[in-house]
Amino acid sequence: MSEFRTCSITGLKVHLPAEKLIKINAVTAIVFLLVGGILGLLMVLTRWQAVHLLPAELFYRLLTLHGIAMLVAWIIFWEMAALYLTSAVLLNSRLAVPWVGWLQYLLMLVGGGIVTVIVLIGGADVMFTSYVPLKAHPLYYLGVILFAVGAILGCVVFFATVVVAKTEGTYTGSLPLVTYGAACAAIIAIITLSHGAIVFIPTLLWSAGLIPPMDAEVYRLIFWGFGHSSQQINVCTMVAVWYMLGSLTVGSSPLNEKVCRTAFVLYVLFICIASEHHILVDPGFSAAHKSWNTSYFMHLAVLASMIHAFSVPAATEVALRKKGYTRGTFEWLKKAPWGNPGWSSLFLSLVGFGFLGGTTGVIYGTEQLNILSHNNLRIPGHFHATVVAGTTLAFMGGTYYVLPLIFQREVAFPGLAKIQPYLFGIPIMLFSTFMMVAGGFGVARRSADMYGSGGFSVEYSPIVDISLSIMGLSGVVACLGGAAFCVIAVATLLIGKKIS
Amino acid sequence: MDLKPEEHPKGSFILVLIFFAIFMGMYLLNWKQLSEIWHVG
Repeated sequence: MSEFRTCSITGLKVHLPAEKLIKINAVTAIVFLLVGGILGLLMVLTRWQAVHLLPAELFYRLLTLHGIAMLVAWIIFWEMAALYLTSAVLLNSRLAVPWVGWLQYLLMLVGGGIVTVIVLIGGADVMFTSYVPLKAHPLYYLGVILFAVGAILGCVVFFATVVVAKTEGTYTGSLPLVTYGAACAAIIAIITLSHGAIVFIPTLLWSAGLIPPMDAEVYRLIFWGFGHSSQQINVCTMVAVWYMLGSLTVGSSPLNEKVCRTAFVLYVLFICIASEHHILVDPGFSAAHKSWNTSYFMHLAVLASMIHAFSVPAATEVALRKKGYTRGTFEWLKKAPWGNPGWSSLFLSLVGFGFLGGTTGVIYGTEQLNILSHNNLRIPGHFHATVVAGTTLAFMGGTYYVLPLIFQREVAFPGLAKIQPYLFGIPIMLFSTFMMVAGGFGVARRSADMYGSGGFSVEYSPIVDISLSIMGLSGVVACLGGAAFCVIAVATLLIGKKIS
Repeated sequence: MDLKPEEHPKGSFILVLIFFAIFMGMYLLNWKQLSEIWHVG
């Protein structure tokens, strides 16, 4: 029992080896967020045509690293911390096989480090997608494989811990909803990361000159089972974090847990299929294949999001109404704890993900409409709404609770923490919106020079200049908001008042 | 969960209706744009 401490705030037993792993994964996640954020600022200042900071070669190199640092490293390291938190801590259990947890961390760290170095030295100017026949240095693919295997091990530790908790009777009844959501995310993660391993092992061998090149179409199909499905791990974890934040900030509990659990199962069954929208303009697959996967099956995952989109705010509304805020239709919303960064992160994340990211995801993923957005700025506009305004903001809100509960320190600079979600969330929504507007007028994505540097020139509507300027300004402010989060987190660890 | 009448989540229901209205509007705008590009509108 000496390996446990009792949390003075929640009363939960915290297994100390689990706590160490949560801390190290969370800190590493924030380091990658910082790196990815600095690169993001450089991207903004290049795509903002009036500034156009970086030369083309450096832009593509750093865009590759920005995608990996943000879409993969920051989020999956944070998710590893969340898996250990929602299994060992929420279930009052010991963490199963902590050494495997450390192996997870080391593999992900070494893999992420190798990828970072190789990209920075110019060995992998292949963008996040690394579509064959673009070839990177073999170590790049090896780094990705090590990272993916490490993350799979983290999921194995999570499930082993759930089994240990059940066997040792540390909880009764069904899994708590947050842990259930995390379990669904872990299943999706195993599916996703297996795709990563499957696609990158032959690519590694090809890059090393051992086998012939892979078929480009097959690569794209399997790659997106990793590349997009990794964002579905985020969606599932984000929703679990929403329920957790609702509970921690206003004491909410779901109106109907069975419906919420069913929605999570819909994610497991159908959300990975959503990755097929990346091949909607590819000639190699039949129209029927594309339509079934992106216009029918995918909508069952969308249905799950619709259920959560009502369930999460409704649960918080009921909790606030039970506290007496029952006047009119929206008194509960006016009296919600807007100064609590956990609540403001939750609400802004809901709005950003639902109104901007979710709607555009469904629209752009529809076969006929996809042609309007494919390879223009509408797509990064969409996924900055889902992954940044949605997932990242929710994870920031979750961090404001991990700091006192796991690191046992009071959040530093509480005044700044109160406004940080607004400083980050509102600009990033503006950034996404105006990125989508510019994309709607034909501005290409993944392009160092929108006016063309390959012997062609393009003319745009004047709306494009205005849109890119608003996008640039709001992107810079959002970077400041992200930097504020990193400053608060680091300061909390270094100078935050210790909670006894 | 048993709720008193004043505890029913009416506000969230209205928020969801607003969400659906925006969703439908954006969907229709995209179809309209597509029809104009393809000259079938």
